[in-house]
Amino acid sequence: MTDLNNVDEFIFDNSMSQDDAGKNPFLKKYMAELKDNNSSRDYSGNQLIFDNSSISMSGSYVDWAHGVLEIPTLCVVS
Amino acid sequence: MKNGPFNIFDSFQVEYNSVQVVNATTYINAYLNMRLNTELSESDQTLHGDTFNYYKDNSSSWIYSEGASSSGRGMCNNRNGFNKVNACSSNGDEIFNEGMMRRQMRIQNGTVAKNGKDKLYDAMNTNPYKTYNLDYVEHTATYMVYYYTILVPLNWMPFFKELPLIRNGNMKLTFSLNSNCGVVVKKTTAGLLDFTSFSGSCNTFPLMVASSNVLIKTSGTNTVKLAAAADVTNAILQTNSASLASAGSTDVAIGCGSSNILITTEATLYISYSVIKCNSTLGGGANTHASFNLQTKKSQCRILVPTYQLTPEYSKIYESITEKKIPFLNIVGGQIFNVLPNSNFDKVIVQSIARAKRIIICPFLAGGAYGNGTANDGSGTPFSEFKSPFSCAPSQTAPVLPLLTQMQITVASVLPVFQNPQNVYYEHYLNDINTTGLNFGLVQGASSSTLSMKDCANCYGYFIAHLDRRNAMDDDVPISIQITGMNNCKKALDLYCFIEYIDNTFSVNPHNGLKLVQS
Repeated sequence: MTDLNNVDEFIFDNSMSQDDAGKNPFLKKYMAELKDNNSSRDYSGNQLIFDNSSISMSGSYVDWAHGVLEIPTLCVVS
Repeated sequence: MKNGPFNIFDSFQVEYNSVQVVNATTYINAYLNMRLNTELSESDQTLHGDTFNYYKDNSSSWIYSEGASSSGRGMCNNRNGFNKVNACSSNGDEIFNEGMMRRQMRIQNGTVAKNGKDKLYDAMNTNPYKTYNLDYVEHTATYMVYYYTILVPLNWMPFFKELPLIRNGNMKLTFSLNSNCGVVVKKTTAGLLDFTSFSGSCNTFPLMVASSNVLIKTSGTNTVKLAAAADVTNAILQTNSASLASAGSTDVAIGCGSSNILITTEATLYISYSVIKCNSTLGGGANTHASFNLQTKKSQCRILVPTYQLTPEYSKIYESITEKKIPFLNIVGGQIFNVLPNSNFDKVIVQSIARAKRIIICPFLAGGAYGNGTANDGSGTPFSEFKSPFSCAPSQTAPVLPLLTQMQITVASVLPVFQNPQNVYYEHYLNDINTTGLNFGLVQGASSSTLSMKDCANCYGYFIAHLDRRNAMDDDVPISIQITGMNNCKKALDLYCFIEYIDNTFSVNPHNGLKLVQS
């Protein structure tokens, strides 16, 4: 770990890391949408299931670590 | 909502190429909330909090009431505005929960014209907040409906965080939800709040009801006016003067700012919560107030995930890696329910586990006769904190960490983790809680975790013990893990235990997605 108190070392390390500047490893990025298996809007069973076969066969590399799960909910107060 | 995106989950499991790699652990939301509370920095909270609804709840603004009170029954941390700003008040400097208030303030009100927004949103029923299900509340004559979308970043969860770029791997993700449930909240003639019933099979009620004990405004003008103690009740940062009551009334305002609802007489409030669609059969059973059958404009849940095509140069480099071993943090859980006051507990949480890393014990006030508030109106036993609409649990714990004494973790039946049984407080904070998050709290200016000792002594009372101080040759030896201690709290506790361990059995070819068998 760089000692944050040593500014000279920090500047030198930064200079050393510029070798690959400007190169991009990717040709293309897009956000794939994976819908859950429930198409009837009925979540009364309190279960949410995803099967990723639709995007796993796309031929692209999938970055699961940076995916986001979206769950629309309703609360009614009466 | 209770804090963070995880209270919608009770468990989740992952199958990879039809092999289970993450087992379902119930009450996983308590563990995931602990990770957020101990790992996010203030910058993380600023950047991600608004998106993922994480606003750290204040830790010492809690109160406890045996019966119905202006905040509710049992453990309450739901006061969302000032009463009397006074450092000598009963709770010292924290007399309201700013985190909860901020979660309420993000709600957009689509019925009342606010700051000219209605001039842009031609017809309120088609405004973008409702269309996209974004923090939007709509009033009708008989009910209010909140449209809210939970967003969960997968890298805040175990397993996903460690996954590299993978092509052609088949995964099945199964989440058990805390939805399809409801509570009934009652307001008494004296303006006090109570809850009377809970419906649904889920383990956590993910929503909160705000206290009624804060008076900011007592007339139709926007001036702040504090009430006399006897006048306690009324509006909370209320801006809609038409629905305000006069000073000294016992009206109860639920909510904050544009999202508030005002109960003007002794009344019962039905709160129903569900995914995608909601009808009046939820909410403490059949709702006698209103008939509704609503659904969001979004018809399904979904995962948005980035996918990439590599340049030929980088593709060649990446394809040279034909096997990636992916050790990841996995979780196994166990619970000790209803530890009575002044009682010892002693339980083997897991019989056999290798590469154990930490054990985290999250204490909460139990339901039942000695638990979270006395039995209400003879209508049943109290709710546990998980199901209370007045408590932040399980985004926070019960404030009982200093009351857990003689704590010891024993591994392999005979080896104690602590030299002496721990009476939890200052030493424990320094050894095991302060050392969470980025750089383990040991590097000035580059640490995460915002838990102070005050937080730990109050509503972030996690008991954490490190289990990975051992010889490398012992890493793969399965051991049992047992906890013992004493509950010196006057209330019964439920202890939710989570053991983190390194699962090193997962190995894949990232190019064809095949899961490889470990030798």
